[in-house]
Amino acid sequence: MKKVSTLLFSFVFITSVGFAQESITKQGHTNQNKFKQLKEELATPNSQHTASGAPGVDYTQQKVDYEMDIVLDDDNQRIYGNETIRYHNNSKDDLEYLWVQLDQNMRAADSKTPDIQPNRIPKKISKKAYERNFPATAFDGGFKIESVTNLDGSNLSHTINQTMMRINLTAPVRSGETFEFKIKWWYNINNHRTQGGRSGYEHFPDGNNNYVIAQFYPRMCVYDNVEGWQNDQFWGRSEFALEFGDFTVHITTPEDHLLGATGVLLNEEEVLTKKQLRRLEKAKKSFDKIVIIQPQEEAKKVEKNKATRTKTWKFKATNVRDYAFASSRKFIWDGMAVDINGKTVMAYSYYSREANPLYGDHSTKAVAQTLKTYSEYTFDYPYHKAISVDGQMGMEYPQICFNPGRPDADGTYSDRVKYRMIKVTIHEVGHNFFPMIVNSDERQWTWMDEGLNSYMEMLAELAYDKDFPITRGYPKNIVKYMSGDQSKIAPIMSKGDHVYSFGNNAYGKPATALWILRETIMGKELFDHAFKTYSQRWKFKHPTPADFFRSMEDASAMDLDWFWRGWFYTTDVTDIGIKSVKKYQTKTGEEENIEFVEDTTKGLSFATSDANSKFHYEITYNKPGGLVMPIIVEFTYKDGTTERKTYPAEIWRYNDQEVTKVFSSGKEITNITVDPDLETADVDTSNNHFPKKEDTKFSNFKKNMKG
Amino acid sequence: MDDIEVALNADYEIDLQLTTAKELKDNDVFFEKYLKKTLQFKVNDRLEEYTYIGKEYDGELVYFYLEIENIQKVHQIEVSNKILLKHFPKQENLIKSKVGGIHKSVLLDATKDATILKY
Repeated sequence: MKKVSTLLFSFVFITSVGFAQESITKQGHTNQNKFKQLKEELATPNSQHTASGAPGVDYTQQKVDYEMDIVLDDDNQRIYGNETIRYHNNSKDDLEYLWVQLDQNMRAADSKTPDIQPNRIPKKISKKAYERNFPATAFDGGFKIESVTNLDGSNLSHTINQTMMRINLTAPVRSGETFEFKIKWWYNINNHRTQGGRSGYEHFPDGNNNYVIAQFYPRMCVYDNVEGWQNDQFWGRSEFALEFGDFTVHITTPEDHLLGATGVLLNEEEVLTKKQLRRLEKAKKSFDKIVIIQPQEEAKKVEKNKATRTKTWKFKATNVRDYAFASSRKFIWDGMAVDINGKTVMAYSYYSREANPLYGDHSTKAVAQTLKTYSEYTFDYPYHKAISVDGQMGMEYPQICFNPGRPDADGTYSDRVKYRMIKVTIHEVGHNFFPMIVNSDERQWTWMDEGLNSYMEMLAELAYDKDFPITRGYPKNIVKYMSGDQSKIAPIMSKGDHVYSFGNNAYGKPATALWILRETIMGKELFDHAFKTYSQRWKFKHPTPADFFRSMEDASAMDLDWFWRGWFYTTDVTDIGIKSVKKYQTKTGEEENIEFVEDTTKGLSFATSDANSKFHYEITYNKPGGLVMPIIVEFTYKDGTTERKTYPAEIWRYNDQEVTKVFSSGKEITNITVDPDLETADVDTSNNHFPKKEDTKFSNFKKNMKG
Repeated sequence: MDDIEVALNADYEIDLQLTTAKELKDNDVFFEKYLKKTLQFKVNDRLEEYTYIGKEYDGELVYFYLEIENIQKVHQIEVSNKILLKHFPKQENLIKSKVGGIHKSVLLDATKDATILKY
């Protein structure tokens, strides 16, 4: 009996081991090739957004017109408004309800925006930080909606969900119909210097306020065939999705205010002084010099007033997606005419004396440069003017933007301050093009306007000053972010509200993508043509990321899906290096065959060299980083000359880790460098040289300090 | 660069004006003081003083070069990093290390300003 049990035990043991070793069921895999096309990620093309990346025959979009009467209450820092909204349903769908955006509600006392910010008690903070994060009294922000009515005054049922308001229609707005309704409201303007915000007022020691007003009216959400109603809450970070339309706006301000706004000023004679009108006419013809329309000396006098009477500014803006204005009795105003392919566009700046001479020297100049450069690469700026305001933030609205930077009290300003101010001004004016004309959905995809704009901004900066210190957009500038803690990095194709390191994620990384495509992957000619094609296709329309990706390929005959996939959809990094090099020379062997004889000397040198043979190098490149990039190689010869060879990214299509390539030359090589000009955002260049370089950044610095 | 300027200008009542014509002369002494106050290293459980070798600018970044000498083998490094926390409560400081080929990184902030990295 005993013998039998022992046997049984062993048998079982053998059996279980046997099954594990002899199984033929292997784990399969899906297509993980880095060159897989984006067909699974992108929406199936249709007749509204075509496969080539263009708007299709069935593309429609809504139009919304506004008529507004606005009163700026300077004594109480309040806006009172009354508007008629004319909503044109150009879609094929019947709409059962409409959605209206109430951005100011983000600042209401019961706003949920502060509730979603995790916070803890810090060890200690400065007084300024304390006042900002633990305010003494809650701000009574948010729209106070007084009435929502039909044109005849009867109440219109509406439901408010935080920053979104649903208009509950009694009958649907059918395809092709227009629906009109009115809203009356007011709200307390935030002090953007102490409370933050993309609009508000700044208070000065002289008792005056500079107002930079935007997001001041209930405005319609976008309805399209990609999102349905884009009614994602305005939590505060992701910006706006807006329809195009015409605005007729009357703004009442104190009589001594100077105001700049979106649109054409219809009643110049009523609101400007004779002197201002004269200088304005001069500015409209001045293409070489900036003309000061309201000089500092006169603005200084006005500052001391406190007009009790009011005046009303009347504007008409055609085909814009939003409206904003800036008003103050402190404003200095200058302007210059800019020739955009035969059409005159005015560049204006409004600023208080605290911003002079920084703004006087550079603001209007920066506006003009932006209009010229962006028009060159996309389409002619279609509006009649562009304004830059000393708003002490960086934010764009159609035809008017609010910018940062002030000189020191003694009127001097450093290069850092100067270039920061110019950089932001170019960026904000540039936003007229992306997203305010090429009107992508900012609530969903921050990068589509911020990335494209940040890239184009670089071209305008270099045109303004060829030595412009560019700190964002070059591949080497994004390496720190991309090589950082992965738990704090999100792919570009993420919703802006959800990402960390917003600036790097939505501005820097996509801008760098375009720079790399232009400089390294596609070349300037192919890139510029494709980029212009995309811009012109979607001018005054709503493009999606798929439209951009498809247009860039469709117009250039370049397959870029590997690039979009790696750079936009993942948080992979570039790291390409040289693993090993084998050296050969040839000799004639038996039967007239050529034999390759390896030279096993360490490094790149040959023990002996045969004058009749070329030098053959079998180089194995490896790719510790996940991203696919072309392999850009620089060979340095013994005689000091260099030669470049670029292997297109497709070289990685069979093996994502390693690839071997032969390079033959009549001259002996002494050094091989991968990506010598740092074009690919390589996060570790210690493996980019053969023979390996032992110097580190630290050892070099220490050496320089001592020497 | 902006943030470290704000912090030092406030703490030492100076006006650094980095990279400008008005840059405060011999300002390394302030940076050294600030770093010694906010950044400490314990190597193999022993507090080690570092030498401040210098700094350099790269666009908007400031690189500080610090050196601890005469360590035979590193088993662990305890980093205490309070840089910028007082003036910027939401500041995050990323510690990236490479010791004997081993890479380790940790994110510190106002709620957790120290960490031990073992190799």
